[in-house]
Amino acid sequence: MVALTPKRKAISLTLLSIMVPLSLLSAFRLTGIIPEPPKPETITLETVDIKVGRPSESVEFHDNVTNVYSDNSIRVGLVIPRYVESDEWSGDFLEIRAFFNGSFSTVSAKFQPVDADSVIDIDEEVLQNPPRCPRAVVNMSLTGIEGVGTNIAEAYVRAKATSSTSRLTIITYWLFYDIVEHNKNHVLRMTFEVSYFNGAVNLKITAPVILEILVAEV
Amino acid sequence: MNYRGVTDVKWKVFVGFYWDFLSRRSTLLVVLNMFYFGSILVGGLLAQIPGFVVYELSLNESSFFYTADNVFLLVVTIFFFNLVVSGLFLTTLSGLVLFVLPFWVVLWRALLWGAMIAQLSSPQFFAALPTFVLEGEAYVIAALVGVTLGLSWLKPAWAYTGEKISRREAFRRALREGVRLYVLVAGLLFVSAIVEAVTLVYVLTG
Repeated sequence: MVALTPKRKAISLTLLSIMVPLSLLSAFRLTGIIPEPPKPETITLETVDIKVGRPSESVEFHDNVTNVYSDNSIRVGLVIPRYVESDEWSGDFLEIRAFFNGSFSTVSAKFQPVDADSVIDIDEEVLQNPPRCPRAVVNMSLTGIEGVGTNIAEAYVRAKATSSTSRLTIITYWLFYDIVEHNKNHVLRMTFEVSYFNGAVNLKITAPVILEILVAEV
Repeated sequence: MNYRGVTDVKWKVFVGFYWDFLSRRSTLLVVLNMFYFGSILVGGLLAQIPGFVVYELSLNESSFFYTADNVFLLVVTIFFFNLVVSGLFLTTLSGLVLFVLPFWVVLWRALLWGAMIAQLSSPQFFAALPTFVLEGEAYVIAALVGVTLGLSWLKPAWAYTGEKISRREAFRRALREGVRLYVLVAGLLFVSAIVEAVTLVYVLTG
């Protein structure tokens, strides 16, 4: 039997101090003591199709809320506050407010104008909690934004809720190019995706919305 | 002496320094290793307690860095962040303030890592292990430097057992040794940055 020299003893102990905990960790994973994380359960909601007649003048819509999804943990919805006609900067546009209230989730809101004569413009200033919209972003960390400006195929905002009381309001302007004629239908596809852990299960909710502005009077 | 002989001697002196330093502090090295890697295990177990992990780790978000085009940039970023922020400032220089602080930094980091790795799927879990070993060992050595620095000005007799040495001389010596040890720390962190970048791009988020 070979006696352990101090040198060999030090090497052995150092290696053991690394290998034993990591081996135990691996063994616990393989045996299920540290189980695999649960795969997120995906829920895709039925597409909500909202049709709005194109007003002939600026109008405020009151209480026009469409709740896309809500449960005990989150509430994701859509508000259409107003239609503006002949704005000096933007022409004709429909204001859309997408909102999220919830906890510890990742949120993605995507906007895709389908027709060639409309574009989406995300109000980036709102995402910085200006005085006119002081609680637009509460306990949320923005991780991505695309669509400030116009003429793009897809606009999106992605954010992470960092607390149990998080909220996000996204204001977008859906601008129409047929300013004078008013003779075209416009279609916008929106998708909300919220991923969160409700304490027991990882959930991913996908809520598609189609918003149509039709050639008709309200 | 021919050139090869000079190189061999320099190499032996170079390696000899590390061996000598780590041997003299083998007990502390073993304790730090057990502390660190044991805490990863504890973190993984604690993550099973409901409510301990309040936010699920998401590795699938789009990120500028997590693409094959940016592997080099990712390596450089990870290396410099780990070396300067995690290693030097948090782990080593905290020991300069108080010699026990590196233990707590090491403990906290390892617990978080353990909780994080427990949330990965099994293929991701095992793919991440080499990074944990390399980076973890680098931080253990960084903590060793920090503890030695802290002891050198506080209690030189503990830092250099059996030697009668003044605080100033002990501190200078610990600083010199620390600078040389950081070459080893940097080497380990550089290799771990490469492993981590490749793992992130091709395994964890691919």
